[in-house]
Amino acid sequence: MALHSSPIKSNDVRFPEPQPGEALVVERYSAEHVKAVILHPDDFAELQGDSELLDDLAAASDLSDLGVRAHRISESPEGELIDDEASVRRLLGL
Amino acid sequence: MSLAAGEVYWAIVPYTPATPFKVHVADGTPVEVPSASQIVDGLRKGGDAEFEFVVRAKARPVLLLSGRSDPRTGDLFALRLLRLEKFSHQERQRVEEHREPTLFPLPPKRFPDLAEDSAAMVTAPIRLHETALDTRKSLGRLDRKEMRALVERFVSYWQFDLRQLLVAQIRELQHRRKAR
Repeated sequence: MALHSSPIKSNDVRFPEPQPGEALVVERYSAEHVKAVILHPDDFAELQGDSELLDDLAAASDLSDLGVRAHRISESPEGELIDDEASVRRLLGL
Repeated sequence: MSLAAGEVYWAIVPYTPATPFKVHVADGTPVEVPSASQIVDGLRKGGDAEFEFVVRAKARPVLLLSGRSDPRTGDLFALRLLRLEKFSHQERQRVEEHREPTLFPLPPKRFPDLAEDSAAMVTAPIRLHETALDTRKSLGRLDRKEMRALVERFVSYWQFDLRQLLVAQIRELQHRRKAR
């Protein structure tokens, strides 16, 4: 899943302006609890681009009609069902 | 039907057939066969003949290893779960602390509808038909990071050789980055 953005109006929040290459880590209580990370728009664009690229690369190929047909063939019984005890034992040499 | 990787559902899951095999017969009790080769030889002798086998199964929760399902085949790929109560205290702790690579513990907070603490068995992948799944309710779901860790363990355990794929993807990534 690619990284997506959720816009917030600048009037609704107060935060310092990050410099390019800098990540402002907003901590809650301690350094172990990170509430948010503020990035410069250029850095975010790069991160988002990388995320989309990786997402594209992970895209799986679809099952073709031939693949579906192969599946059906392999799941369809082909032969005669032997279910009488004498025939089963005879075939198995028991 | 919308399914996602990392979700757990109840399913009808057969035990993996192993010797002695039991062949169903309509007019008697199942015929036990001690080896696979005996069955192979017997069926080949009979041309296109087929047997019905008696396989034990039970309802058990399974974790979907992939959310991918194609309605044309109905195939799903999942891992069996194992209840942690089956282990000793030390063994259970080992699993819960992620020190046992073949058992991936499911965080209880993410699986509120799973009655008992369980682990996904990396060693026990199963192919299921979607009709064998009770999709009325998901019992919980691993998050994306946990799924990545689980899939990594799965690929490592089964020794999938992904080198070519990785090299091709790194090259493609380099190419696309340059083109940006």
